[in-house]
Amino acid sequence: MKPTTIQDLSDFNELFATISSENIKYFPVRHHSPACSYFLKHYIQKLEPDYILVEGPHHFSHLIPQITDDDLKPPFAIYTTFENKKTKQGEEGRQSSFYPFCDYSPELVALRAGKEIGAHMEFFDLGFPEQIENERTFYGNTPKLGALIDDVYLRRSVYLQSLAKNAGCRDEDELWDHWFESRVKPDEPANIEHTLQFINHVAAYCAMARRDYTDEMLQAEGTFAREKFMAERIAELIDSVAVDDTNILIVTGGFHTIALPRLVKKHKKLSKIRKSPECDNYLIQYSFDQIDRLSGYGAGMPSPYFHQLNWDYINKKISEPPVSTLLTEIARQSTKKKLDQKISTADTIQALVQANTMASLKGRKAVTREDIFDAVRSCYVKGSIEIEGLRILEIAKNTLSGDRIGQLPSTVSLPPVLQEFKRHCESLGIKLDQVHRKRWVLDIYRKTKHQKISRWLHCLNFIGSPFARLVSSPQFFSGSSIKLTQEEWEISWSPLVDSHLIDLSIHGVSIKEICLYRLKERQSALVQTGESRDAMAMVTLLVEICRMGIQETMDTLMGDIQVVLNEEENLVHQISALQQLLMLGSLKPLLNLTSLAGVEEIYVLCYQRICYLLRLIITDDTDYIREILQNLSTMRELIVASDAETELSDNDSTIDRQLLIDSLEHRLSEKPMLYPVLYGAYFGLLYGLGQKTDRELTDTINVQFLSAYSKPAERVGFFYGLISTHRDLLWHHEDIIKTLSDLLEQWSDHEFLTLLPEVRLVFSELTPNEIDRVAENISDIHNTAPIGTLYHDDINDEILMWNVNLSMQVSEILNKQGLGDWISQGKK
Amino acid sequence: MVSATNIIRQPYESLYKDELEALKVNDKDLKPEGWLLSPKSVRKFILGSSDELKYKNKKIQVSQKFYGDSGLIDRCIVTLMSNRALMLVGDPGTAKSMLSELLAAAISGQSSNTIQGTAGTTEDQIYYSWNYALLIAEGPSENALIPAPIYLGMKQGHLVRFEEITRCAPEIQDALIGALSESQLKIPELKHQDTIFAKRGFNIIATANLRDRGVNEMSSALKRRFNFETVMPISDTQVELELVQKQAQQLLVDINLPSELDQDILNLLVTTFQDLRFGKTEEGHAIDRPSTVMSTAEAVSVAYSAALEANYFNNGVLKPGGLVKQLLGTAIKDNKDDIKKVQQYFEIVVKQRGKKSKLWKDFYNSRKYLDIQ
Repeated sequence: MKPTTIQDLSDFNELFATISSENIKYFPVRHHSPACSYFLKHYIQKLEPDYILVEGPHHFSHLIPQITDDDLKPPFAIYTTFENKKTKQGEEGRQSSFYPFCDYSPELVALRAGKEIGAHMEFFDLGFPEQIENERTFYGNTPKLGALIDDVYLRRSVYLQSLAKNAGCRDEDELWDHWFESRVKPDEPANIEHTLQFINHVAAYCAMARRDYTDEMLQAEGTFAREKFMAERIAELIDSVAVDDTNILIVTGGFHTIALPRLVKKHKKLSKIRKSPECDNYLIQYSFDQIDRLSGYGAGMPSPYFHQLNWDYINKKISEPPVSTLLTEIARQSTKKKLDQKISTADTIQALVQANTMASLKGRKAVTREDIFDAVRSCYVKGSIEIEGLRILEIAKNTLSGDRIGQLPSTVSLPPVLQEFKRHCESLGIKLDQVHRKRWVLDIYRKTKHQKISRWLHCLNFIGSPFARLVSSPQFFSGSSIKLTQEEWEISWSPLVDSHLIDLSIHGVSIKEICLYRLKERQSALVQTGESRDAMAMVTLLVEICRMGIQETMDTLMGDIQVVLNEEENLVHQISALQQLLMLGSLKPLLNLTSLAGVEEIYVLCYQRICYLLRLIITDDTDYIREILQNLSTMRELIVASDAETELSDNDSTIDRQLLIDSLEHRLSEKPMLYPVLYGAYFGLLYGLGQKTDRELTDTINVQFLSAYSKPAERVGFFYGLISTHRDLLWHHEDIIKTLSDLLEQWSDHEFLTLLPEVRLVFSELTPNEIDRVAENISDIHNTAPIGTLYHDDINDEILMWNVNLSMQVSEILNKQGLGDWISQGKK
Repeated sequence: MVSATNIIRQPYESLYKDELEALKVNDKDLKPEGWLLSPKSVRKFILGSSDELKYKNKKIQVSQKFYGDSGLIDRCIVTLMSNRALMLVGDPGTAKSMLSELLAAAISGQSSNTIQGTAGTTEDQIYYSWNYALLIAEGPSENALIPAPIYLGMKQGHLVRFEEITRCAPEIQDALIGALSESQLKIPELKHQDTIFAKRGFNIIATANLRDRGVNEMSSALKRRFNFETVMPISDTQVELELVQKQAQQLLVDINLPSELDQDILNLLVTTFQDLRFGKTEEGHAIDRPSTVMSTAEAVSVAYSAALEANYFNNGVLKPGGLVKQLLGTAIKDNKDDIKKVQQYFEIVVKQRGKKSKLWKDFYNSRKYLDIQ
């Protein structure tokens, strides 16, 4: 079906006639436009229609009594959601959308005005599921915006862009504000002439915008399907009432107002209404911040707070025009945020004058938001707009946008989960009336109240709610210092928090129930992916459960973990699991005693298993070995910590250190011999545990260095492993350095050069401080004077190596010719 | 368009005399006191208009003179109507002075009340000084007084232009505070008429170059009395192309040289400038920006010089190589690193484009002119 197209100017008159015919009147609106709301309200009051049809999915109609409740304070939204059974590729099963409403939204104003005159009211657009189906992936990944999509047509119109330029406006937004929004002044009440003129102008405006769209585009976006549906509903209504005595008012986006009258006229018969999936529709709180963001998607009107103030002003609820309130507020905010540039009262006065002058210069009756921004640019910025201006403009943008959140009356039905959430927030003193980030530091070891909050937040986190974010949590500490550590959270509410909970509400009536559901999901997922064999993944899950304070499923999980730990062959995984379990120890306060016992059992099991694997390990996979090295120091820390604890508490430690010692010793003496790096690591551990003497140490080093490994890495390997588990040997144990020094001197130049990279590697992980200490030791041993600067900037590596090689070659030649003395004189 | 003259540069009120007269005659809107044109007409004068104005049996079309954000012009005009002065800031070569001159020509009918800010600017050059011979001979009198721009501006109710205000010593800058806040000038030497009260229409347009000395050194008392407007470099290639073409052509016409400039070569020039100015090519590469400002004014200068060279030395044929030679003069103002960056640009971006376009290939092949070692 072809929509109306305007061929020449005379078509306009025809258009105007069709939208304001005898008993059936159309009112074209732009969503979230205060000017449209103003004239619409006046129109309804004058016309007193019997029926009002409002654009919006028809399944919203039953919410109208709640929407028109006096206790409902915008901004709010209707959140609609359904399960999409036939999932095409990549489409999620669940589809949802927000339909926001503000005080000044024409749809809301129409419903409120209609309630006052007792009109029969309905939403009459195509249902949300059908809209999804019809619309191909035109908007890609942007969230579904419901009714606001219509505005996108206006923004994208090429015609309107050039019209804007001719009118001296920057873009289509400013053009709309200039022509329509600034028409209203509180001291000039609306009369019917103005209203009719307004209707016609908006219609003409939208008609011109519609010219830029081809039928194909409109078809693809699902517009035709919606207009067809709406036209049929109108026709149905006309047929069912005595038209001559009934007034019908149809409120839709202006883009559709152009097409509907003709479609209604041409309509022949009603199409069958297909069965569509059931939608759930909820009223939820919404925020100005979110509404402002929609303009980033090309829909809606930006700066909601500005429009709210305007609305209040033209309805005489406030006496100050928005421009003065806002400019003052921006100045105040800049002082509050401690900007370098202080904005004085004189500046504010100047800005006010500037805004008003700008408006009158452009021939507007009222100041638009662009005028306010221009005033800020001119008067509040003392410097370049790209440098000094950035912050103040951001403040201006945020001030005009606002941070208001709507309030729902208590009679609104919410899913139990959401109700529980809100009650809990209230009891904790979290006010959900502003979109602010809040930092929370929880003292989980000393305050019971904080423990409870921590559990609640972890639960929310676990189910994926955007409400809370864990900034930092205590790491493993031992002893008394643990009591001082805290958890830090960042809380911020947004409408997405509510919608997220609504989506999950099918899985439970409380947050705890939803957690259990998710838990089961995770566990079965682990089994499916084979990760259940992975001790790490399971233990991580265990830690999360403990943090949430949910004890119910712990037993089965722990049973599974035991099984897995017994089967885990990878040493690194086992050690990582142990590290996680150590962390559990720090969570003691969050658990009750019975569950703790089970955890301790696993802990011990893990430890035993590690010892077992250490005892039996046979590998020469260098990557695996490197990983092991990185984790072996954990074992040492563990022993140290447990020793400390034993001292403090007088109890027997749960860790049997002898087991570790025995395992290590056993492996050292067994064949096949350990790969040198591991050998050194084991040795270092044993030395640290007091099982090896210094003499043994030096002897072993000597043996290792002289050994017949062919690869340089292996020859130095022992040393490397040793240092990695017991670094302080380098400066505490004098003999080590001496031994190493002796060995280095024994090497030939050629050997030295070949082994140099490996030896460097050993020392490469030391911190600068540690390097200094080692250097001191070395110089002490050799009783040398300082060797001077070690860094030369003007020579690069290439030149150095070239020089070294050249020197070697020259000295070889000289030696061959019996002239070796010439060189050795230069040496020490 | 005015034909060749023997003056290097005419002030805008002479250059565009017809347009200004036509606007005045056809001006139906309200004029602020002291202004020769209404704000709407001033805007038309600066941004151009498609309307044809009747004047002395001729049809005059007002040309576009300023290329950039129209919102900026609106704000400037509103500021000049208010009791605050106007400060135009921005990188060099962004047409701040040109805009200042256009505003003065349109609003006050003359743009010569100008103070050139330098390190040696004194109060004499701002307010007034004395003819000392006459002063001693006859004593203080109005005869003996040599007016400077602020005096004249106040007396006549005209705009005063202060170029490069941040180059002046801060104490000298602060001398303006008195004039701006009191809107009057005291001349204690004269017994009668010792105060000049500024007539309506008086205001100050200052310009400041952010590259050299920023506005940080300006006292906050002085800053307070100005509305700051930032003039941005042109980001639209098409617009800049139009501008460069127009200005370069005008310069050539003024000295009676053929002014046809190859569109494609100019496009190449403008694209190069945009790339180096913003540090990003249209293919999406990020490139190292030279520290020197690659402004539109310099682009015009390169085009003009290249055309000159072509005309005088090359039988009038302008080639990409000619551009490269002139580019050197503009790109390496004080920084050897900048040549390296431009050479790098040639090696990466120009070479790449040369594979698809002969023009860019010629451009690339002329890179030898960039080596100065």
